[in-house]
Amino acid sequence: MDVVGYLDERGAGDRVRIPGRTEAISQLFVANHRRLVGLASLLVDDRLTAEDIVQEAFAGLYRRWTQLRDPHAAVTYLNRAVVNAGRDELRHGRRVVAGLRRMTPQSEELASAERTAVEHAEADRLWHAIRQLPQRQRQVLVLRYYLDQTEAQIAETLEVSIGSVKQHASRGLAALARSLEAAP
Amino acid sequence: MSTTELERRLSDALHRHAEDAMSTTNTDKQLVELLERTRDADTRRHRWYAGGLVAAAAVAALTFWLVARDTDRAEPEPVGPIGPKQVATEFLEAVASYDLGRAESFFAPEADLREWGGVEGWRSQQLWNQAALFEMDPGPCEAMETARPEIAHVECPYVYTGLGSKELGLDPFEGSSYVFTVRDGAIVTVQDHFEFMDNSYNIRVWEPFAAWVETNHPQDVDVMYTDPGNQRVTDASIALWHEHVYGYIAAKLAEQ
Repeated sequence: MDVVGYLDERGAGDRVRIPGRTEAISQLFVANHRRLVGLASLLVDDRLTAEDIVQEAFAGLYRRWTQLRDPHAAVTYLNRAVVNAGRDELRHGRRVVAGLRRMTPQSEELASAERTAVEHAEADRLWHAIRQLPQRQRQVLVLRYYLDQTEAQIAETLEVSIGSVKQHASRGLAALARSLEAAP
Repeated sequence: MSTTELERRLSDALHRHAEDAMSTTNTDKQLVELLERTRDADTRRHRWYAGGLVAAAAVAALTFWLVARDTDRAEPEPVGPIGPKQVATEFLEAVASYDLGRAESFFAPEADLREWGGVEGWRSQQLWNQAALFEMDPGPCEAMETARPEIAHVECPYVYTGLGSKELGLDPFEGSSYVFTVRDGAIVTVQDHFEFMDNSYNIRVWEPFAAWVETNHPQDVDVMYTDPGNQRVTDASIALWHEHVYGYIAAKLAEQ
């Protein structure tokens, strides 16, 4: 079906065009947004906050674009920004959550996700155990087992030593194992 | 449980939870919000405001649309005897703000809305307008006398934006008007003389959007359009129009 009666046929021209900041960030956004929302959702406790964190990360990237030493470092920057913002949000969120429920009503999607989780009780138990971990252990395990980052990459993202990464990973796994064994 | 088994289960649990969040986020809509926010660093405060408006409008539109779909229609409030011009003016104010229950309260019980597909068809068309981000700004109405004093014809010009034209910086499109037949303070016919050729809306907005959909979402063309290239107004179509308008705005803002 032809729904178009008018098409601009001027074309893009012959010159190779270097994308500007907005275009480059848009491309990065399309390529990475969903993955980063997924990552952020593992570091905070709801999707809307995760989306806010990812928005902030890209807004920060936009502001710092000209200072970026290498466009390929953008993904590393975004990962780091999301992880750090997730840490801050979790701190803040845990402080206020007891006294103030989020004003946004729980979405059907979340309710659906919860129903799915009920159907997968084991994954649910594990997820709750992950949420109980100290922040640094949770970050290390998420980066290792969700993003498949190496210890060196995790160390770079979190700006800590490789030894520290190993230590947090080991302690985090041990804590999860204990939680699962203690569960009925 | 071995460490390897624990690691496998951990990876599975993390991916499952992340997938839940990933499958419910709208990347196009979020990108529009980001681009509006960062569009011009020199006028950042202004852009943040505009981005907020876009996001708020999107949320409001989507929320209203979902609520309108899912909630039983409230009984219209009775309308007192008011003049034909005021009837038309207040009707268009309600339409412009997508207060459809109030707008419908101005229809006479015997209103002839066949060309809209009845009241349901009229309502569906408004929901499509809302999903496609149409905004109408009505001008002053003029009443025309008829041979029968209880009947009046009223014409109300309006300008409009839609399909992201406002977000992309285009001025409102002029030349359209509504024409009503009002009898005893209620609307019995309503016609929308929607201008889209002389004001270049067709060339500047409608066709570029259609071309973008055809290129980027070819699988959705038959759901969104009828054969002659008009919008198809169904639940599935309205959802796609809403989603793709945001994708289109994002793509065009990124090119600017």
